[in-house]
Amino acid sequence: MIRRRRYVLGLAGVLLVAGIWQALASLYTIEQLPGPLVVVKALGELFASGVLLKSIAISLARFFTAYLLASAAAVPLGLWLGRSLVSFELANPALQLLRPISPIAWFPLAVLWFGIGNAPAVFIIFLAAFFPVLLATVQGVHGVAPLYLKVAANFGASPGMVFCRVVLPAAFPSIATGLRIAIGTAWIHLVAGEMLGAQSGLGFLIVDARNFLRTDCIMAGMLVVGVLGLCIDSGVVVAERFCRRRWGMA
Amino acid sequence: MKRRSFLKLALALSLAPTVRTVDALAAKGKPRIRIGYLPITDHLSIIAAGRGNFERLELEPVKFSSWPELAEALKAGAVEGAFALTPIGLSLRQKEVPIKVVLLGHRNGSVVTVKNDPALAKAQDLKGKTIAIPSRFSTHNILIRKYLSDNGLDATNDVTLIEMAPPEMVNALATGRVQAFIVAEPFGAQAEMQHVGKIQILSKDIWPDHICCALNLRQNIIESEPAAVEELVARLVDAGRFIESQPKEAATLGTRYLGQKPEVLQYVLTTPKGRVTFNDLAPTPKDFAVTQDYLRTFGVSDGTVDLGAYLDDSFARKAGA
Amino acid sequence: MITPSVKIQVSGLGKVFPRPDGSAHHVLSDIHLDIREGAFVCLLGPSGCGKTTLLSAMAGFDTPSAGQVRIDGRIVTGPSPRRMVIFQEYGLFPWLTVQDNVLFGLRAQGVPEAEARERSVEYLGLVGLAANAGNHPHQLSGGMKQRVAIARALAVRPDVLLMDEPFGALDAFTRYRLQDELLRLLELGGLTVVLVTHDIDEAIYLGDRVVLMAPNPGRIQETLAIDLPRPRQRTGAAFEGYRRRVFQAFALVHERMTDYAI
Repeated sequence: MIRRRRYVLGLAGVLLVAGIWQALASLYTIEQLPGPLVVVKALGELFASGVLLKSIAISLARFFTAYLLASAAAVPLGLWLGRSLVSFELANPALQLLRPISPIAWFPLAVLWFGIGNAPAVFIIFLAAFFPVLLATVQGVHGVAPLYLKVAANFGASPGMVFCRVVLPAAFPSIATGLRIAIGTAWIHLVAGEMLGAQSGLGFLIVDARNFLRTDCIMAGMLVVGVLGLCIDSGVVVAERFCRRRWGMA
Repeated sequence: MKRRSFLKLALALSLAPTVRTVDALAAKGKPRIRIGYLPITDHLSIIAAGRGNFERLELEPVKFSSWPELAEALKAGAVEGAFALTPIGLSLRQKEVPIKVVLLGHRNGSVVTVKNDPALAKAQDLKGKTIAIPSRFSTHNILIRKYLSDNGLDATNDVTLIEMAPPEMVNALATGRVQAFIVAEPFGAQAEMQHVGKIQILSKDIWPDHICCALNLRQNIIESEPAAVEELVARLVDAGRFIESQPKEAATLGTRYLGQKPEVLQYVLTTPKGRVTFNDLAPTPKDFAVTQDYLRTFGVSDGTVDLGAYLDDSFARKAGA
Repeated sequence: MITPSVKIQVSGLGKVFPRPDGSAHHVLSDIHLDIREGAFVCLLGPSGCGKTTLLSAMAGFDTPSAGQVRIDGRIVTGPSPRRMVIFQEYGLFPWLTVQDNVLFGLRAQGVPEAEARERSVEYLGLVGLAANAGNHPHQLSGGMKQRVAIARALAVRPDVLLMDEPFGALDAFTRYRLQDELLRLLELGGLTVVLVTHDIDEAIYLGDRVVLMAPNPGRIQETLAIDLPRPRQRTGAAFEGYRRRVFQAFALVHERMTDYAI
């Protein structure tokens, strides 16, 4: 019952936004601000030509490659930095320096190192995901309750056991939060990352449409990016809930 | 287990294009030449890529969405060449990026579009108004300043010039943020077609047969594959002739590379004819020297590039440009 | 007569922490205490008297600034499963089930898996939580959690049990029940227990000896031997007598006032 109400309210909210959008659009021309119906028509056009599905597939492939690479790099590094105080003190100032730099600012270096096409897009998305996961992992390790470490020491657990069986599970909630935040941030940078001569993908579609003043295609692309972002986030929530339940922290 | 195989799939998908081209290279032995361009009519000669097979090279057009990214790619050597605005090319060359101009992209091709208002009929009506240009480092900056000074106006004091991305210019004109803009086609045509703006003057009438974009190639590809470059230039010159003689067909082919509707491209190529021209594309020191002088006069840059070393018209002459 | 050996020997123990202004804060100063094997000693005192620090030194979590703790004649330099600590906050691992929590210590000790499982079931049964083996800590009440912690600690068969205000977070009823349960478990024998508390009744109810501590500097003020047979009555003249003595020791009885009333 409560679930049904949530869906109904959510849907009503979306329709409300669509209504406001339509009202706004009536104040402008189609080229300036197209209404939802025009955008849906453009969506259909893109779908029919096959461009939409191809763009989605390519963008998703790039996105998940980048995200998985970033997580695979950031989690182990974060675990290490969290445990080793010396390494942390060495690396932290440099990391804090690099972190606030928007991934978009890395464009020139991305092109220099990776050329054009897939690689720089993957790099930009990688950067967007890497720092949140790294920092959350380090914080997770630092935030392990000293009580747990005391208990483990009391039982004479080996360093390996302490790490795998105490630190890792204790840090997991923080790491999971970091992974969730990172996936959202990284998705936002998808469009930016695909501006570097990528020749394909949702970001490229949006940016290309800009040059033709096809605002309806731009907004159709934005809509797809938004919906996919929502799906990804929902997927993460489900995955997180599953993990928590399985590992007894819900 | 599932995650790992997905990761492999994703990695493979994203690396596939690179692998494919490496394979292609290995198989045919033809050098791959990537040419960067923007979706503007100035770069229409790129349709050469769609007019038959090449014998001595694989031509790979790479579409960029704006000048900075194209310039970055050219600078980093991520593409073997690109159609670049002359000021951008000169600026890169001054920074000792190893590039040379082998062919002009076009002549003319820009337009001063003003708000669709009878009060803005001639140049003097622009006094006190805001005009958008794509970048300080553009031929358009030179053109507008020349236009204004030819009509007794001072660009610094009598008008406000602002930099803006071309796609935003049309909307800016419609909402009154700017009263005029000068940019490459087809943005002027699009403003016309939306009844938002009208042409005040074509760039060819400000500075007849002015140069704007030039094909800059990296020196290493010129040195290592002269035969391929020769064919490339010849085919581009040929495409230019095709555009001049058969604009309708060229517009249809152009859609594939630029993306605008054929009607828009056709409009630009024919109404009136000469808005943008693809004749006489051999690069001459005189054209570039004039550009450099203008840049100096207008305070945009104070560089001097050795044009003898920067320009190489041998390929163009051979192709009969 | 065979006198039971001294299990825990605290000699000249001192612990100093630097204050922000640079002066020294003597959390513990010159502590001497002998605890014989099998005894149940309660450390009783107000906050700041150093009782937890003393327990921590016995456990090996804290190194003393002066003096040492010897257990079985050997100086304590670090924690060991031979001396298990029970914490007020339970210290159960929330991501493990009740049984896996108990198994943790056994696995850490390298006990073979089959035997470990048997022992975990046995000790959970001892504390009456065999049915909850598959639950997670967050599903249990405070009292149950502490019972799991005790089972976990006892499963590795320590010699010494060090308890730091183990029932402090529980309501009175649960506290009384757990105190009785603790005594019942200890009947199985073999454990020397040191329990830190600020609850006077608890100290008298549980301890063979109550060590009264005072702060600034942390020191032992007095030691009371509780000569009551078990099971003890929480009410009754004898118990009340000891209570009075403790209150007096802490100068909490207003002698003058009683005289005055008459």
